[in-house]
Amino acid sequence: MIEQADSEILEMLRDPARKDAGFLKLMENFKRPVYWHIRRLVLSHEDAEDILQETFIQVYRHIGTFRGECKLFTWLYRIATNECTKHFRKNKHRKAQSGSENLEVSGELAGTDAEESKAILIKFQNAILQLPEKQRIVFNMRYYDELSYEEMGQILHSSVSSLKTNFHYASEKIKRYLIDHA
Amino acid sequence: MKVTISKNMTEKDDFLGYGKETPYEVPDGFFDTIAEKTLLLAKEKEPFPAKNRMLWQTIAAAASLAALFFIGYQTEFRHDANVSKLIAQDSQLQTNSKAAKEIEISNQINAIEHSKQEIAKIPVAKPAGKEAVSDVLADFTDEELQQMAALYKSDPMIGEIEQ
Repeated sequence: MIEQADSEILEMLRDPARKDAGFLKLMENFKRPVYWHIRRLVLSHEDAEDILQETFIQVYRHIGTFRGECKLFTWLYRIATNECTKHFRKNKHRKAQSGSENLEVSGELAGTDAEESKAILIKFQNAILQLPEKQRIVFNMRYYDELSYEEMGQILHSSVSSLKTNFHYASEKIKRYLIDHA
Repeated sequence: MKVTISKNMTEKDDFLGYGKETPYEVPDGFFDTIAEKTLLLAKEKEPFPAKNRMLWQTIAAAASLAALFFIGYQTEFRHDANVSKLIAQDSQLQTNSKAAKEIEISNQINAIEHSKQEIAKIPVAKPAGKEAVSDVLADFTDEELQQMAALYKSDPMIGEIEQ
């Protein structure tokens, strides 16, 4: 199950003398995909940075509990997704209190050049943001990270059929949104 | 960029025109420093090493026990002191009330003795009624006595009064 690169990093992380070097190597390998996975879910760079750091800190602290039943990447994604879910819950409470619930990518991009190509990307992101939380996570993992349903199942603790259904509904809703906003 | 969306797209060609790009931007140099920053944070947040943790846990446990003992001792000591105080107050009250009762009883006895003495001083009066009647009866003649006896028998009112 554990790949060569994973086992090397794990060995370093479990050796107190090489733990820090192992951690830097782990971050070097996974910081970008994990950051983008988080960013696409939470939108704001500041939130994504916090969650990214929290994810890797969790790994640093709990590396002893990793039993190697899945890839390191899968474990990292699971922690990152859980942190995002926690963030959603916290944010939902805050938004419910302030009365603002709409997520708009354009708001996150205020001040940047909204060229035609960018406008299309923004529309696509807005279509994704209309999805319920689970469908959004599944769509992003499948579409952007190109994860297999089996890998997604390990990360989200869901069955393949449930993930396929979620992805299908998500795609349909996005298509409808894009047609309606063409 | 021109994108066409059709309802009949399959998963493979879905959203091809949109690509994998996102409109989000990342501050310059973010990925260059994030690893070191995160490592520093991780080391800051790292819990105490097992050895230190055990020492602190022992100290904390000892402190807790000492605090509990002190609180318990204080509570018990105060409780005992309060109980002793209450008992002393109670016995004092009992003593006082006993003394008061004794004084009262002694006063009552004195009063009774005094009354007895007063009574003793009073001359005993003879039962005047009976002697007076016999004296009166002695002065009557036989005839008068027979008349009175007859009157006694014939007058129903006298009999009723006696009954």
